[in-house]
Amino acid sequence: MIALLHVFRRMLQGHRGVLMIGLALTIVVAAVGVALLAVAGWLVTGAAAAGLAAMAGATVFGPSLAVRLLALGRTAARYAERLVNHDVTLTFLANLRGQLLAALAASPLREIERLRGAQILNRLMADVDALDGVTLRLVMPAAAAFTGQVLAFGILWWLVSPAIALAVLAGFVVGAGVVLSIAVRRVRRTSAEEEQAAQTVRTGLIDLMRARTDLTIYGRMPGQVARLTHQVAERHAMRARIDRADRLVGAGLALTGSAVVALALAVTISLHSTGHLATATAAIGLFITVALFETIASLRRAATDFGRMALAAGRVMHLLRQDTTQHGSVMLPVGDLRVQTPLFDVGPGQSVSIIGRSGAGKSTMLYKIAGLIADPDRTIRIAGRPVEDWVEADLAQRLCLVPQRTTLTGATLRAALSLGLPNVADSDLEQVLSVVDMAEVAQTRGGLEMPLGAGGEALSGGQARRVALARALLRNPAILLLDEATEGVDSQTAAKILRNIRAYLPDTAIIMASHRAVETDFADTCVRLG
Amino acid sequence: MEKNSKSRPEAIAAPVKSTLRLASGLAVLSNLAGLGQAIMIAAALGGMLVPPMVWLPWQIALGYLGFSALRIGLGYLAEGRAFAAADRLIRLLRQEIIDTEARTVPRPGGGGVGATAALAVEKLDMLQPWLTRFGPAKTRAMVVPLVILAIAFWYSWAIGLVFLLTGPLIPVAMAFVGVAAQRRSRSQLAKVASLNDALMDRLTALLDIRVLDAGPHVVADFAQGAGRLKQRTMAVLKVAFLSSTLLELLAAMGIALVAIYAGLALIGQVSWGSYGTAISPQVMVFLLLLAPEFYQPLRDMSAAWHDRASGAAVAADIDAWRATARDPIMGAGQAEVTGPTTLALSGLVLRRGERRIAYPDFTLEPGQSVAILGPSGAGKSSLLLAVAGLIAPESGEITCSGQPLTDATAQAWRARLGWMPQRLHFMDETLRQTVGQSADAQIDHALTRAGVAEVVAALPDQDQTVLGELGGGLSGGEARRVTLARAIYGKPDLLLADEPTADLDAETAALVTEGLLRLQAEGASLLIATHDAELAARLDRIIEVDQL
Repeated sequence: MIALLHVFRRMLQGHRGVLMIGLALTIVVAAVGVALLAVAGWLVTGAAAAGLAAMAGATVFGPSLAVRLLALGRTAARYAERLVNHDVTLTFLANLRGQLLAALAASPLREIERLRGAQILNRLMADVDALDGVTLRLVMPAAAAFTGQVLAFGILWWLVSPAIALAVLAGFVVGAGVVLSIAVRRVRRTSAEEEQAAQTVRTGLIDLMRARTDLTIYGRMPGQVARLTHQVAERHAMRARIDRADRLVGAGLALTGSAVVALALAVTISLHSTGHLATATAAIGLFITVALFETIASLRRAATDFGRMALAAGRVMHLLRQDTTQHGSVMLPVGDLRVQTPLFDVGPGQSVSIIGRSGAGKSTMLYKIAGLIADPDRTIRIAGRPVEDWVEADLAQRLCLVPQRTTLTGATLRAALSLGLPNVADSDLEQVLSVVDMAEVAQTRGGLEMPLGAGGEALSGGQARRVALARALLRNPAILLLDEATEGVDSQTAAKILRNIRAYLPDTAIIMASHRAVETDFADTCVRLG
Repeated sequence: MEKNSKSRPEAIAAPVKSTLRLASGLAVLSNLAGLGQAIMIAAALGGMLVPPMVWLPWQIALGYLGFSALRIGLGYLAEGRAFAAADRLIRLLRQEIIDTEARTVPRPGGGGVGATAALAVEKLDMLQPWLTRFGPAKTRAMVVPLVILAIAFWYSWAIGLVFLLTGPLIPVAMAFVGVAAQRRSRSQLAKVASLNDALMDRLTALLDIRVLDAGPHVVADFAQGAGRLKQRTMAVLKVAFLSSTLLELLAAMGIALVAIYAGLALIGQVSWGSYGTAISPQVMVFLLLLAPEFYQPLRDMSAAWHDRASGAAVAADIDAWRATARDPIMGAGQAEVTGPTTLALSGLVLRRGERRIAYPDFTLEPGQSVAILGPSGAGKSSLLLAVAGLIAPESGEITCSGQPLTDATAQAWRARLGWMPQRLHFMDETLRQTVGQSADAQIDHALTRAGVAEVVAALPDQDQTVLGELGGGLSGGEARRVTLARAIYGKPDLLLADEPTADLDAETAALVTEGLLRLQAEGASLLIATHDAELAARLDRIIEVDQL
């Protein structure tokens, strides 16, 4: 609940004005709706009473004009309210995604690596989707219902009778309160479980399709189908539970409304028969009570979605709250960018290859040099200072890491290469492509506009690797860290690429984690880890 | 084209048609019970205006409550039936996707794994609001206004005329303003969904963004794109909302007209509009209360229009998925395949897309090893899949242990096979489960023999690590050795291997080659697709498949 409020507030920071207008319009629409029915009811009843008493027509003119104005006003207000509230919603969902991206882009490496798992990413996206409804399905209906109640209470107390006002308010608040609180509690857990079940089914189905050949040959397909069928059945059972709760909320709210109207009917007739209430005012009371019911009914959806939203808000808030502040900033000297570790010491124009069996910590070493993993021993120094003392942004200006697994973004080769470098010249792009021996491939497939497909799937593993290398070279780093840089590239090409890189960046210190002879042969020195 | 898009989406709901009809019927009845509520309020107000009250206060209250309960109860049932129908349909479609994907191999050019999973997991859910909200609203819009119109005309032709004139105007006016705008707004909403794809794209590349220090730029770029999208969307919504505003305006004017007419008639300033006798206050209040009910189903239907649009889009997706060309996987039968492991190809022709690939005849004797040599795309992998019964021959025959490979024998034949794919998809299971399906000590032995035990020991949870969760977690060479371990553990009679040494460094390639040869030494036959000449040279025979 608190997280939900936090998310709502944070996403609309700087947009208070629009939000307030949206809320105001929501309230106006609700209020005019109540007023319209009240005045119309009063007009007819009042007219009937007046007509029977042979009253003059002049008194009818005012209310009938009011009815027309209210009807027009309500329509106009509703149009404005829709526009403004959609504006608010769009702002909310753009900010939600933008801020999440910003927070995660600056989050610790551990968090980033965790997000590589498809399931975690899918759940995050589902959370984001669930939160899209916060404005239109939760906040605005709640505001409308609240205002409707307050306004109606005031009018009823003032115009009709305190007894009726109290009866109506108490009926709605108690009835709706009970129904909603039960609903929220009942649905909350199930909708979280349903979300989880959906992800399980997705993973199982993707497994079935991607590992179809494996599953078939090893005779595991029937088992996989049976498991999926069972998971689908479980998910549908949860959906049925949620739907039943949703329908019960709807019925509960409707019964509450009906009971209150029935109560109002009985009280009104009794008060009227004892002469405590004029006919026309009695009508106002009844019509307002009927109109109030509509504002309560729109809470149904809010109640069913609340649990899911609160859960999503909690998880999203957790990601948004991560401390990403970095203090101070010192530009690295352009001169002696020497990298010193207990194992080796590399200066400009030199290269070192780190070897060792899988799991010996080669990648970790590179991450530590890049400042992405903490180095509490403070044994790794760049330009004489422990890496720990460098601000990451400063380091990133002069240092570039090509990790073991890379992902290409953007639809074209140009977009993939120029990630984060919006104003790079075509000639530079073409040059780095020839360094990694990709110029020919690119030329036959549309040059820099060569389409890459989602996540670079149009490229082979080796090609994607080379594009990732080119992307790093484009930054002209003084220190280049390569983690299994030529994986998937045949030895001959790999040797050529490494020679090209050295020619392209003659003064760069190159540190490689490698297991291939072609890489260790290339390096000036070779050290063994573990 | 227009006819197509009209008749097709509903066709998908055919299996649950009768339940949906029941739901719609119940919804209409529930709506009509609302007339009873209006009668009770009208009776109360009428009684106050022209005493005496026909019923006692508690009778009126109870009557109102009774009709309300009837309306709510019927509505509850109607919603329940509609949900059950939609839920059953969605579940049937999910099962259809699972079963079809398990039994057939889609030909290249379909929607892809991600798209099919999205269809089965999320998109199908969008059929539900369409069937549960739009369907019943449509039926109500066809019945309830007519009933109210008849009641109105029964008492007053003036009020009847108001309904008659404003009612049909609604769909006409909506058609004028709405259709074009809504079509535009729908494509716009699809673009809002693309915001998710953009975010997903960038989150997948988070590590890259980080190491390239591209964070601020990427974030600013994303915010800019989102801002532009918002502006365009708002421009479209301004027009799109006009249609619903027009609808509300007509409804509001209709209600106001009825109210004003009722007022004037009751005062006596207007004497026309009824049939001779003046309309009683009770009836007038009743008619006034009916006015919103007259327009409500139309408004509900219009509000659910978007649900129908997204439902129809999903129906189109399902049609597209069903239309994907597929090759069936052999193997429903239970026949046994016994005897020594021989494999013979005679006149085999496979069809891959538009191409036909003819293979040379050969026989693989028990314990023999054969390299299928040829350039990429020559059909080496296809041959392995055909031998495993995953693709049926266009012509010619595959004979295994003396029996033809058919639906009847495929399952038993596959039980004797081992399989090493070029790229392993790690499923949502532990590495141990990937290698073998039991808590067998043989698994450790197989991992050691494949030279991957150390790698496994270094994983976060050793052999209990779920690699799918890690988003990879192993290098290409390590994953290849896991497939070797799995093949070793399975003790196959015939091992099929697809490019077992491609993309590997020399050391790992040698390790894999030795592992394969040791399997042969233990009695297995090997059928290996490769373009690694070194590996091919160490096998008993080489079969070239480059001639087409």
